[in-house]
Amino acid sequence: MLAAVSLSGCVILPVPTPPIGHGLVSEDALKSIKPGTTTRADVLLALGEPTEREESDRFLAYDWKESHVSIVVAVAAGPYGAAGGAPIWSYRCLALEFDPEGTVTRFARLRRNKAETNCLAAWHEKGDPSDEQ
Amino acid sequence: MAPCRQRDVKTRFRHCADHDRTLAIGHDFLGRKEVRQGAGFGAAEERRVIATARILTASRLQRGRSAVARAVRSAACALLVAACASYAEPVKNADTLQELGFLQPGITARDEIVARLGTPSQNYENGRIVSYDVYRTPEGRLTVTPAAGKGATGEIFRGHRYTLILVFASDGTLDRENLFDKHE
Repeated sequence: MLAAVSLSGCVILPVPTPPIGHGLVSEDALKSIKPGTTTRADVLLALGEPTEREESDRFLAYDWKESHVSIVVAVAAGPYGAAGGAPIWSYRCLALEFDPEGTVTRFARLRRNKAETNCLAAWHEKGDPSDEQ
Repeated sequence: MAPCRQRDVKTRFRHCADHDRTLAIGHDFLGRKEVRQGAGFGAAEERRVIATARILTASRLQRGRSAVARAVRSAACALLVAACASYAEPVKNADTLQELGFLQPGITARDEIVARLGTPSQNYENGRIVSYDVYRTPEGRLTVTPAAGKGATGEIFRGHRYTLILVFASDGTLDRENLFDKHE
């Protein structure tokens, strides 16, 4: 018991992982969006149903969360060890604006706070369409 | 402190003491050994005791480090296995798409689609673009009827869900379509 206690320890490590998440918008999909050319139909056929719609679909947004790093916590006592891990999430969204003909005029990929569920509201607030584009 | 016996030195780490031949072996938190002995031990026995303690210390430390390394490796492997990402992109599975084979771009008319699938769940641009929620039934077929996606016990079926996006041409025939996994 004394040996187990004296040899106990704890390790916390950030571990890079492949992307984790659902509904991620890929870099290729982002590159395919061309303001002045890409239409609302193109976007819907490429990305599916949006998570947010505003002003008769003048604005659309796609929300997702993704992780590229997980935290691993390992505990050992003597010859015994246990470990667990959890991903570190970052919240993202893609916001798009269309002209009356249904063509993309501008778009931006944004980083959101977890509590900030409304991507379009955040986009309107920031005002700069090229935050992460 | 417990009475010190010879086998304590060989088999375990503990503080022990003997009135005549005081021997104490302990370890600090990092596992570094500390061996002290008092009167009663000869020089040869002293060396043997210290050597034994060193060997056991190294062995225990190695096992402890191995346990941490094993645990970290296991957790990292589990994370890698569990790690998966699904992208917002059309379904490419041929078997799934075959079930929607009645949708023929340039041929299938809007009326026919509405007759088969019912009212769309969402529409855009005054109905030029529509979407349907699609469910996979417990039997494995696709349906647009939520009730058909329920399990036998009446609970909501937690199987695969999709969104079908349809774009119509100005003449009312299907122009383009894509099926997406539903992300919730």
